[in-house]
Amino acid sequence: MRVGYFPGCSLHATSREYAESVLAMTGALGVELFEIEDWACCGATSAHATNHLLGVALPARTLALAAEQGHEQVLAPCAACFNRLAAARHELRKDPKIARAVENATGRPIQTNVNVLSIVKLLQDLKATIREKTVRPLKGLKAACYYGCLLARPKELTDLDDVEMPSSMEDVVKATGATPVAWNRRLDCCGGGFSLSRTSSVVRLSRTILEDARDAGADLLVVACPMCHSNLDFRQKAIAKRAEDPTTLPILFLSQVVGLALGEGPLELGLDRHFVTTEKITSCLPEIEEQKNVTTGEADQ
Amino acid sequence: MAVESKLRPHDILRLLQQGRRGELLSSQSIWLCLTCETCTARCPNECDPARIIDALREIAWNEGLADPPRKIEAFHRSFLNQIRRSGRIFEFGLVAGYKMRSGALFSDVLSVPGMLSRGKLALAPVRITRIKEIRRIFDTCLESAPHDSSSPEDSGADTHETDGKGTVHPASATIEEESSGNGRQGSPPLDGASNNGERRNS
Repeated sequence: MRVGYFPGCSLHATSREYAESVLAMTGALGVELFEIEDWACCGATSAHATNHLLGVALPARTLALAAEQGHEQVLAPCAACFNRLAAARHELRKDPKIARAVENATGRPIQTNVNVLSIVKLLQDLKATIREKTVRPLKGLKAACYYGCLLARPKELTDLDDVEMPSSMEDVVKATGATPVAWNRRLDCCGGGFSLSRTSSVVRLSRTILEDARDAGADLLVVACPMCHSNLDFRQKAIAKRAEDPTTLPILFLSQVVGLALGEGPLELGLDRHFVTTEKITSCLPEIEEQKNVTTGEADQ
Repeated sequence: MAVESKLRPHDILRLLQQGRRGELLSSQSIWLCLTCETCTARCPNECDPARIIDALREIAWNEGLADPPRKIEAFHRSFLNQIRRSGRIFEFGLVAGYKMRSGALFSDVLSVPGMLSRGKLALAPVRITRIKEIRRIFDTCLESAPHDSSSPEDSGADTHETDGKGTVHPASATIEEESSGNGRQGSPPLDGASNNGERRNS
């Protein structure tokens, strides 16, 4: 399975463990990723909040590059990048006026046939393969799956089974042998792009999320977005300073959870790059079951 | 964010219906929206407040009526400048530009030592090959915006100038960013502009 890869800015820097784990995990699953050459930033919040056309044109250029480089689908592991690419594709399809303006801005033909995949969608379609290739079932680990905003909404972009009661991420986590917990805050906002500009809001919002996950008995919280990770992991110290309960909660990327089940090592998956220690998770990992499918010849698709 | 905003999504729609343009465009509330899309997903009348708020911000920005909290404006300007300059976000440069514009010179916004020791900060910006295409996109998109008195690129870029707007408004001061509580020394302001060597990070 060949897939175009749009890492986005975060995966090249502050979330490099997300990139490391995505590459290790997809390799183990037989998915080949090809980074889109000369990609540019999706514009994130700042573009669409100040200039609508800019917020569509920047990701539209990336879609055009992906098509030009022969990709039918593009994986965007960052939830914000995914959302912006999917939103651009959606708008270019339904609004010819925007499409013309974007074509004029990018100087490239409009491409809307490239399918934009989130990491959740990619893994949901590979559940059977994950189950089959799991050599280190994460039995006994209780995971709170956190969707946040950009993986879930708006519903016409995100391809989730249900916008209020999704189960896609839980399905993937179950395939690794871990147990998803039921909790209330999985669709709440962590404060997203206010990490620098309004940290107090991030602390307030993220604290509610962490407390609810802890109350539900989770051993870890699973995310699929670099901003959510940074707000819940890096800011956890600031959050704990004021909260009643100082118990730390490891925050793992979905790709790290799947990677662990597939037998990848914690270092290859970048678990040491987190601010909240993941020792609680890595110290109780079961031994790798050696006998399992070393010779899988079949391709996934 | 609704609890921190004077105007919540339904208030914004009501003012819109009443045609209270000036009030809406100069409100800080529209800048406190994180586009979490919850209002749009749950509106019983199938309105799309998230898109409407984006449109209000754009109009306010173009017409020079925008009055966002200073730090939020500083962030948007620094962010867009980074993209225009390199095609990608270079976080060191982003933080530098943000600090200069926001005046939050000594807040340890990214905990630089912790980020460095975990290999999380790229030390040099990467500029994409066809940066001209990005400049063209910016120019075309900003050109099509009317009364473009405050386009992001003409505000001193990421250099040593602070922007002219120094007012902090009472509504934004209700919740202050904790900038000095963690005992760490603030890192000196970094200058993204002086560090333009092109290097690929791995």
